[in-house]
Amino acid sequence: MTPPSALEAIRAEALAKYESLDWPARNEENWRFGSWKEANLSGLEPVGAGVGIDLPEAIEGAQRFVFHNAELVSGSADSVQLLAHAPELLPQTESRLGSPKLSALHRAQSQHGIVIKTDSGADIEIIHLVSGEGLLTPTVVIIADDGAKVRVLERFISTNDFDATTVLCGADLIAGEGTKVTYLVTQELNANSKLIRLADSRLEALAHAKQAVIHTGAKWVREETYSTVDGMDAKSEILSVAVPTTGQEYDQRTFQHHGARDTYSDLLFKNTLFGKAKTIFSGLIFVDDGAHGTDAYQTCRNLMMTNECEANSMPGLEINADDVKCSHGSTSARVSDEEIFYLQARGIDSKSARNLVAQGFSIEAIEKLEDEQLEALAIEVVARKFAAIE
Amino acid sequence: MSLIIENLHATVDGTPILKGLNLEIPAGEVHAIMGPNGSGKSTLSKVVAGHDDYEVTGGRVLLDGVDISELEVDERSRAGIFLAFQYPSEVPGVSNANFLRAARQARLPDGEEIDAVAFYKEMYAKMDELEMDRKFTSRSVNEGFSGGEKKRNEILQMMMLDPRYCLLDETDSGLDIDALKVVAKGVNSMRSEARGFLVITHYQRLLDYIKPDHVHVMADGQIVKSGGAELALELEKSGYDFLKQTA
Ligand SMILES: Nc1ncnc2c1ncn2[C@@H]1O[C@H](COP(=O)(O)OP(=O)(O)OP(=O)(O)O)[C@@H](O)[C@H]1O
Ligand SMILES: [Mg+2]
Repeated sequence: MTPPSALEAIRAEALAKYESLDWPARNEENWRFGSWKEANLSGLEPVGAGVGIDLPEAIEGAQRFVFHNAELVSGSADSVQLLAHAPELLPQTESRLGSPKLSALHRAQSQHGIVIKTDSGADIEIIHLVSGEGLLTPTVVIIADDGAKVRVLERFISTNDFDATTVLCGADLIAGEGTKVTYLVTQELNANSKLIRLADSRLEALAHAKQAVIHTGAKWVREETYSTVDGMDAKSEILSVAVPTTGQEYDQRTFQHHGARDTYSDLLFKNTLFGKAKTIFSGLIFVDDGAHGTDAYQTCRNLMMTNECEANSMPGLEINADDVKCSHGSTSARVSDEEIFYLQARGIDSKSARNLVAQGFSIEAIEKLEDEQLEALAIEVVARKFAAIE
Repeated sequence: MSLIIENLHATVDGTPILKGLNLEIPAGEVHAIMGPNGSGKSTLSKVVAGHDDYEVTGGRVLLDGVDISELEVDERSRAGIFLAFQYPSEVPGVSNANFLRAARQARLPDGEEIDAVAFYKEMYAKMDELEMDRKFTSRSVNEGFSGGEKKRNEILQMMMLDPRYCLLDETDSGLDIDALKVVAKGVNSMRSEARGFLVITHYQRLLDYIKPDHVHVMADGQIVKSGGAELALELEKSGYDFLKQTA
């Protein structure tokens, strides 16, 4: 009898945990306003082999990895490790934001992913081409050390318009001392798919990380972003741009955890809601006992393009230290008729005018990436969504 | 060829603001409107531009003989109406250049793409004419612009869009003396046989630079007096007291 591989052992343990836990249920604080029933993935089988489509234009200078569902079809594993070869690095996302069962399921099913571990630098583009009815559980682990400069782009793209694929993905970022990390995720799934994304990050002293997500696709998204700033002068920026319309619900929960003194975090979420879209934002800034001199900011802004959309915001703050600068706020505003009139008075039709305003609204967050290529891509993804609406 | 405003009545939330206004602006002429605060001057300009806060309860607007009363705001603009706003809107996140480009693109037939190089060249030339710094191309439309910068930006848009009839609503307010001259120069450079202007102002000074062919006084939603350029001087001297006497 051959001994089970390390990965299998991890999966077996996670499976046992998964089986012992309950699905999210009504009345759980972390699921307030949320569609907890959507999170019940029981009976869902892993998807089979995937297929390819024409790939989007590559990011210049980046090393590209392409997955067809769980299979890596392009990209050399010289500079990265495949998860299968480094199972001990499988993220142990603690899922403190309401989804321990989903997290256990992710671990139990984990079969593919990429581990980017570097002490010099890396520029990586990962494309997940997703298809098939069922569950897909990819993983990205980024471990940056010794002042490394890392840029990662991760895209989720459906290969057809109809398959209801559930993507349950894990992301784990460890930004070591003095590192600089920019990590952009774009979710461009089809309107029948779901995405559940459990993202953890830990920043050590003097690390500076920008994590951004763009959501334009999927019928339901649940995203839990837990970010720990754990070393002096670490700086964490968390950005999100979402453009849902009728039939789409985006549920995002965040936790900015300040575990050391003189740390900085800034979160900016921008939702543009069309049709009968629904969004939920719940964010907590948590400053540990002793994390003096923390600067923490949290802003969620909703631009409501119709009267039928629904934006729920639950900002929160818990401070256990002194000399702290914190602010949190959320705003919801309707698109301004005067702005639209102004643009129309220059000959721009009302749909284009609304899209210009909406795009302008999203750009405030996108610009914070401070990376020309990634910004251009983010704008392109968002613009494509605007063009497709109505 | 002219812009004809015929017996125009308009209300906002049921309150009448325009009460049977008649005005004809032939192409090639500059008409000025003066009048007390609240008399309906901005309302007139917005109604002609098609703002849907105002309900047109009577009358019509003819552009070179074509009734544009039923057209959307953007259609009127493309048909040749240009309104330089008294209070231009700010549009965060949309750069001035992209805005102008979208406005120009909207004037092209379907499937035709704007020539970006030629567009920028033209825009820069017009900005130079208006003594506008190049940095305004990448800044968001009017966002954080000073009052005078916004007004200059309106004129830039007017110059880029080549309209048939231009309505300038208090374009002089907020401009310093030098800026006033620059803006007036821009407007004068656009005067032609093919274009008409309606200039709304409170101050005769603007009319020293942009010489009107006719001056009208608006009060309580109507044109109550019309005359030549000398009427503006008269008003500057004696104000609107004559309105009360006749009332
Ligand atoms: N959207 C609106 N809602 C309510 N009242 C309005 C609206 N627009 C205009 N009015 C009212 O209509 C009247 C005319 O306003 P308008 O702005 O046209 O005056 P104006 O002649 O341009 O004045 P000013 O010289 O101060 O610019 C005012 O009493 C104003 O309060
Ligand atoms: Mg006015």
